[in-house]
Amino acid sequence: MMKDEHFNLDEKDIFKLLNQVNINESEFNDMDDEVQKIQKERIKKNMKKRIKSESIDTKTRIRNKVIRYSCAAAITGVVCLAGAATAFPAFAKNIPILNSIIQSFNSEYGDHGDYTKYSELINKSVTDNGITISINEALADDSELVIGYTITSSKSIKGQVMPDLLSDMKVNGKSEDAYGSSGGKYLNDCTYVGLDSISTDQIHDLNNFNVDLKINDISKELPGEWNFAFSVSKEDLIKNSTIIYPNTKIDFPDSVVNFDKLMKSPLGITIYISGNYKDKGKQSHFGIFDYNNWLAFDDKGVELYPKSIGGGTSNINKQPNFKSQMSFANLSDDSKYVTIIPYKVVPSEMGSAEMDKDGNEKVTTIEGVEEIDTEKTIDGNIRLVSPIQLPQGKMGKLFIKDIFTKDNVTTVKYTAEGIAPLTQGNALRILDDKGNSVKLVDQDIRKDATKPNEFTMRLAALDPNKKYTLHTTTFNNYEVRDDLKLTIRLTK
Amino acid sequence: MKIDETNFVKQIKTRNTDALDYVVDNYSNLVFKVIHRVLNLGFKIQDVEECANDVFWSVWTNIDSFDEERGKFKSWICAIAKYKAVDYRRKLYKQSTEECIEDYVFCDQAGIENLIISKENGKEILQAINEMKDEDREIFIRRYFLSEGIENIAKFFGVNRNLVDQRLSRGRRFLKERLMILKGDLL
Repeated sequence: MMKDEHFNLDEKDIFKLLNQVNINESEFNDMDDEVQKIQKERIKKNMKKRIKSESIDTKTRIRNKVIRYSCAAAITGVVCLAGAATAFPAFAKNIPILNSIIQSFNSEYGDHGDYTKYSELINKSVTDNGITISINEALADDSELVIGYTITSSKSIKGQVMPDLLSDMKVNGKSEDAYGSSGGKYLNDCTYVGLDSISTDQIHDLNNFNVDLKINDISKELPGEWNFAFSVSKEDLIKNSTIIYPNTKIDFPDSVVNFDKLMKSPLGITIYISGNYKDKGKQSHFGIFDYNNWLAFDDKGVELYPKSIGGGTSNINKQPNFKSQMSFANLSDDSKYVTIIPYKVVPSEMGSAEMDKDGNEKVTTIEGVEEIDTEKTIDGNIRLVSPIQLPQGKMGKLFIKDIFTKDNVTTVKYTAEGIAPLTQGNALRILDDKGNSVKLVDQDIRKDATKPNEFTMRLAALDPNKKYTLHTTTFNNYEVRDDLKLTIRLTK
Repeated sequence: MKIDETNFVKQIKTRNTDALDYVVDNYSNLVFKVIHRVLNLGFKIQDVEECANDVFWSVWTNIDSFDEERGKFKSWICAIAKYKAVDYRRKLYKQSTEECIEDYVFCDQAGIENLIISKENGKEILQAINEMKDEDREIFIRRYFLSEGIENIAKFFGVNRNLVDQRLSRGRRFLKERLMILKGDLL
C-alpha cells in the first residue's frame, strides 16, 4: 500500500479525503486537450494487462521504456545538486553564493550554458520563525523566469520543504499560473537550496519583470510569512541573442511544420514552430505531431544537449493547428548553423484511428514495436582488459572502455559511435540483480566539451560480490528521418 | 450489460473491467487536462499518459474510497489526477524528499512547543482531519495534499487570501490540539 510522503497516510485514506475537495470541471475549460481515441485504447489495454498480472500474482518486472534523460523541463533541466561540493556554513542569515544555483542545477544535467553570467544577483533575505529564506538570484529569458533560493534555519529542516515554494507570485502585477519546473536539495540538515520557475510567455513584449513574491508556509512543519519584491530583466540576454526567421518548413507525412523563429541566446537555441495537420481526422499517435522529437547538431556535427523537446499545444479548430518549441544547449558560440534530424519513438502498442465521412471514428489496433535491448552481464568488480561493445542497432554502438570503483562511486568511461552519440551515450544503464537501475551520482556524462563523444558515467558504487548487467537499447523503435534533415543558418 | 453513468461505480466494485473502460472513455479528457495543468509544457506526452495510467489504476484499486453520498465522481477523479500529477512531478525532478520520512515535527507559531507525530498515528491524523470544520478541511486538503498555492485557493473560493491563511492556521492548530488529546503521553 502506498504511503503519502508527508502524512504517512495510506493512499486509500487520502482518496477518502479527496471526496471533500470540490473540483469544478470549468476550471479547465480554457484548455483544449482532446485525448485521441488510440490513447484511450492503449490505456484500456494497459489496465487489463495490469489487472490480469495482479490477479495471477506473477512477478512482472515493469521496465521504464521511456528514456528520461532528455526529459529536462523547459529551459532549465532541474534536478538536485549531487552532494555538496561547495562548502556552505551550517547556519547563516545571508549565505554568500559562491556558485550560481541556476548554473549548478543546469550543469548537473549536462547543460553548461553561461547561466552565471546572465543570472541576476538578488540577494534578499527575510527571516520569520527562525527560518531565513534568501532569494539569491533570478534569470529571465524568452519564456521563463527562474529563481534560485536558499532556506536556512538553526534547527533541522530536513525533509520539511515542499516543492512549489513560489506558487504565489505576481509578475508585473498579474498572478501567474505558477506551475513550472522546481527542484531542490538539502546541502545539510539545516540548509536547502532550490530552484523554481514559471513560464512567462503570456507576458508579451516586456523585457523587465517586477516580481511580488509572497511565501506563506514553506510546509506545515515550517509555517511563516516571507515577502519579497524584486526586478529581473531579460534585456542583457536579448541583447546578446540573435533572432532568425528561417522561413522554411518540413513536409512530414501527416503534417507540415513551419519554422517560425529561431533564437540563439548565450543559453541555447530555441526553435519555435507551428504547423497544420494534413488530414484533420487522422491525428498523430505520437504527440502533438508526428516526428516531434528532434536531434540537433552544430556545424561540426556534434550533437547538442536537448533541453526541452516534444511538448506543445494543439487544437484542430485553430489556425495553426499546433505550436511547439524545441530547445537545445549551445555547444560553441561561433557555430554557424544547426542541423535538425526529426525522429519518432514508436510505443510498444499502437493502432490507428480514422474518421469516415460521416464523422464516425474507426479504430484498428495493430501491434506496436517492442523495444529490443542489448545486455551484457558483468561482475561488480570487473576490470576491463579490452573494451566491451554494446550494439545499438542502426544508431551505432557504445564502447565501454573502463569501469572502476573508488570512494563509494563507480565510474564508467565509454564512447559512442553513430548517428546520435549523446543520445546513445545517455541510453546506458547498469542494472542490479533485481533489474533495477543503479542510481546515477550525476547526470552529466559529457565531461569534456572538446571530446564530445567520450563519456563518463558516475554511479553508486557497485558491490564487488554481485553481478550486474550493462544495459542499453538498440533503438529499434526509433524511426530516424535522415531524409528530412534540415540545416538552418545561425548568422544573419 | 451496458455500462452507463448510473451503474459504472457499482460495476467497478464488482470488478467488471467494462466499467473501467467506461471511465477511461469518458474521463480521459478531463484527467489529461488536470495533469497537463500541473505538469505544464516541459514534459513529454509519454509522461502525461503514464501519469494518467496511474490515475485510472488508482480509481480501480481504491474505488471503495469513493463516497457516493458525499461527492461527485467527476470531482473525485479530478482530485486524484491532481494529487498524482503533483506526486509525479516531484518524483520526476528527483526532489530530495524521496527519503522516507519516519517522524516529522509540528511547530506552532511561536516555535516553542513541539509535537512529534510518529508513523503509527496515521489513523488519528485522518480522524482529526475529518473532524475539522468543513471549510477548513477542504482548504487544508487542497494546500497540503494537492500542493495548491494560497492565491489559487483564494481565487477558487472567491475569498481574500488572508481568509485562507487564517483557515489554514486554524486547521493546523485544530490538528495539533486534537492529536495532543489523543496522544497526550507523547509529550
